Amino acid sequence: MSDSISTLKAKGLPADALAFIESLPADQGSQLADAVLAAVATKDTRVEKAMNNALNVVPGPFRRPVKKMLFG
Amino acid sequence: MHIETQAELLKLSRLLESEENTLDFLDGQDLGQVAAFRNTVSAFFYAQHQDSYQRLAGISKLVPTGASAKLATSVLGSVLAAGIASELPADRAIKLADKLPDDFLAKLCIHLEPSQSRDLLAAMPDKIVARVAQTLLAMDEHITLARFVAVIKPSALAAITATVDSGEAMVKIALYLEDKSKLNTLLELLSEDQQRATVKAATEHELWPAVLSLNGHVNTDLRGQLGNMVADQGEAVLSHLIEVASEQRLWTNLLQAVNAMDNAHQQNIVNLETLRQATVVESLISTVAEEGSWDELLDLLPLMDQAHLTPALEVLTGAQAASLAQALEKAHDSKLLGLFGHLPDSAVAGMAEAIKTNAASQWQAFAGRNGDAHEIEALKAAIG
Repeated sequence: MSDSISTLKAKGLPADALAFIESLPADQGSQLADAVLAAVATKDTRVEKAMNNALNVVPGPFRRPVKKMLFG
Repeated sequence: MHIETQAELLKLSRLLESEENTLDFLDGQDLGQVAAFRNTVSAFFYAQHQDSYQRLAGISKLVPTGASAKLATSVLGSVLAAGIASELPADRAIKLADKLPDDFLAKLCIHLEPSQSRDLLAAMPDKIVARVAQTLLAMDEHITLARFVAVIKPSALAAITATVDSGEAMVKIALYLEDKSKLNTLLELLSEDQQRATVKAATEHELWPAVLSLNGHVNTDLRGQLGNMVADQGEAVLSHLIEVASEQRLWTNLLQAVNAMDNAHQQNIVNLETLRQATVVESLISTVAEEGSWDELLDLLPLMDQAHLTPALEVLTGAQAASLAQALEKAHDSKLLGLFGHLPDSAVAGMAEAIKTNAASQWQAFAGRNGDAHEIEALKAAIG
């Protein structure tokens, strides 16, 4: 099993999607898993950046409660 | 690559934010499985950030709608706003949508997760949907518009289709529909002028593979209506259509379309010069054998004149003679009788020989079922 497939499994990609990837020839499965993983990373970065941006526009006195709402 | 495969891989590459064609290695995979994979991955991506979307939606609920709209456009961006919109109560999301600029709202719609946004889109007022649809059309966002077709209210769909004046857009939206059973609804909403524009666009924009492929999903009435419009386009277009069917192995779809046309158009098409070429006829018959669409073919062969029927029979009893066994097993007897009853005298001996060599037992069974049929008297005598 390629590293990307293991990572996707650890991240909770549903079993049917993993089964599809694993049904492909090994090189194609790895290529598809890499593409899914790259998309996860892109989307993670985008969300994190937007959350931080959202926090930056909140007026100072409200920043702490909003930060708590956003990041727990 | 088959046009429906191209469409599916384009949808997947968009979801994965990868370059077009980078997933071409998936060509040949079952399309239903690829679509199911895409839907699962899309829902997985959404679930990865659902908690963040819910938190941001929580903030949005605390501030006035105008301020939320400003936050969305200036800070969050359309991708994140799409996730948040799916976590807002529909009435709040609709109020927010009304405050957002059309181009932002259109971009937001591109990123909505289908399974999470169904209720929201279904509740969206017609005027907002129509506005966004116009912007999406201008952006050539046919994949997103196709997603709309499946979930928006019938009244909103009617409002959108009334304003679509691009035949190319109609074909592409139809091609990208997730649920092709919606195709009939969509096409029935088009005026005759719009339907003609769609057919014309197929020629002008090289969209015949898409149109032929989609033809397999529409009901017989529409297939006939559109087929007649295609046939009205003239010999050059029809010959090109046959070339496309041959290249993309879309013969069954083409045969279904021709079968639904009126008789005069059928006669014109089956007697086109292109159909006298052995390579074209071989492609036709091998595809029919592969897909078991004998009934569709056999209905049309008797409409061929002698000059066209002869080369077709030469292929059927020559290069493709092995497929006769399957034809005798799979086709309806009435269709086979139609062909055998129409055989020119000069072709009977060749057909008899091909059957004896390739389909003796299938012929025996067929002849046994149709012992009294006058259409096969000459063939029976020749086979012995």
